[in-house]
Amino acid sequence: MDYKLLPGDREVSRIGSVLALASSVLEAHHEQLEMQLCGRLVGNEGRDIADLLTQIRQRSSSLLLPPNNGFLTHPGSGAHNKNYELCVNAIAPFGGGRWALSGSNDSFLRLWDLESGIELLRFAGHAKAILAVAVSLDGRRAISASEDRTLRIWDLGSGAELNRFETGTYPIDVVEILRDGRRALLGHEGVPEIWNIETGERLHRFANGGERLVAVLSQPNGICTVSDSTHSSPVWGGLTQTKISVRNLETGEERVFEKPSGGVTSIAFAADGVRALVGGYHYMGRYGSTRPTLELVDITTGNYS
Amino acid sequence: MSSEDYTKEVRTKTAYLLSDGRRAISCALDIIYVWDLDSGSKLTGFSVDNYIQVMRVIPDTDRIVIGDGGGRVMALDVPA
Repeated sequence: MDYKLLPGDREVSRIGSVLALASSVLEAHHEQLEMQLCGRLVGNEGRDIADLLTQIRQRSSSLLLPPNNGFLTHPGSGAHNKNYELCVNAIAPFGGGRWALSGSNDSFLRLWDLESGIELLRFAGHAKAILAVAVSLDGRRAISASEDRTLRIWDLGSGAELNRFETGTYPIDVVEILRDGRRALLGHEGVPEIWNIETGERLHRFANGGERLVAVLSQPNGICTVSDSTHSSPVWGGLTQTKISVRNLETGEERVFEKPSGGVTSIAFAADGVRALVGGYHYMGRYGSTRPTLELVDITTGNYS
Repeated sequence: MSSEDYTKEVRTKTAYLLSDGRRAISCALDIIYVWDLDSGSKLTGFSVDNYIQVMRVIPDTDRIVIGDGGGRVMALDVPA
C-alpha cells in the first residue's frame, strides 16, 4: 500500500503512521504486520480501518487479541513510556479475568478493569517499590509486599489499608494467599515462609538446603513451590544438572525431576498431571550469557520432548 | 523444543500451557510467543512496546495479563 499517494485521506495516513511506528519491529519480524496494525489501530478507528481490522481478524486465526481497547502505542499519542518508576513488578488477576491488581516501582497498587483497560482505583501507602501482590479467592482482600519491608492488607472495594506488618531484614518478593484466606506463602532470598496474615505471625520457615525458590503455583489441590538447585550428576558424566523440586505445601506431596542443563524460571503443569512445561535458559559460552529455552517434560519418566 | 526465534541472549521469563493442552505461551524481553507443543513450532509471535516484566494467565481461560516496564497492564486473548 503506497499510503503517501493519498495524503488527504486521514485513515490511510493513520495506517502510514502506524507502519512508521512499528517499523523497527516489522524490520525484524515482518510476520507481525497484522498484529501490529490491530494493536495500534483498534479502539478509535474510522469505517475503513474498522473494515480492515475485520478482514485481518477473519483471515488470521493465530492473532493475539486485545479484549476491547488498543494495547500498543497509537500514532499521535506520544512515545511509549520508558519511565522505570512505573515499571509493573507484579500482577494478580481475579474475577475470572475481569480485573487485575498490579504493583509498581512507584509504590502504588492499581486496580484495573481488563475489558476497558481503565485504571479504577489507586492504593497509596507503601513507601517503596511493590514487589508482589495477591488477591484472596473471594476477591475482597489483597496483600502486597514492598521494598519498604512491609506487608500490607487491603480492602479491594475501597482501597483502604486494613493492616500492616513488618517483614524483617529482607524485602518479600513472592506472595500467595493460601486457600483458607488466613495464611499466605511469602518468599524472600529464595526461601518460602508461611505467615498468618490476620496476626502477622510467621508460622513456618522452610529450610532451603541450597535450593532457590523459582515460582509459586496455585494448583487445584493446594499451593506448590518450585525450587531448583544445581549438582553434579553421575548420570550425565559429572556435568552440572539442575534438580527441580515441586512441593505442595498443603498436602506435603513432592515431585522431583531434572533439567539437563541451565536454569529454570517458570513451570506449568498440564491438566493430565504428567506433563510440565519448563521455561528457563541454557548458558552460552564462558561469559555467562544465556539463551531462552522452553521444554516439555514427562515428570513420571523425566524425559524431555 | 528450543526457542530459536529469540534474537537476543535472554531467559524465558514465564511460560504457561493453554487450556487445550496442546499449545503454550511464553514471553522473554518484549516478545510473546505461542507454541505448538506437538511439533515444537512457533505459531505466532508478538512484540509489545516495552519489556514484559510480568505475565499471568487467567486459570481455565486463554486470557493472559501482562505488565510492562512502562507501567502498562494489558489483557490479551489467545484464540482457539
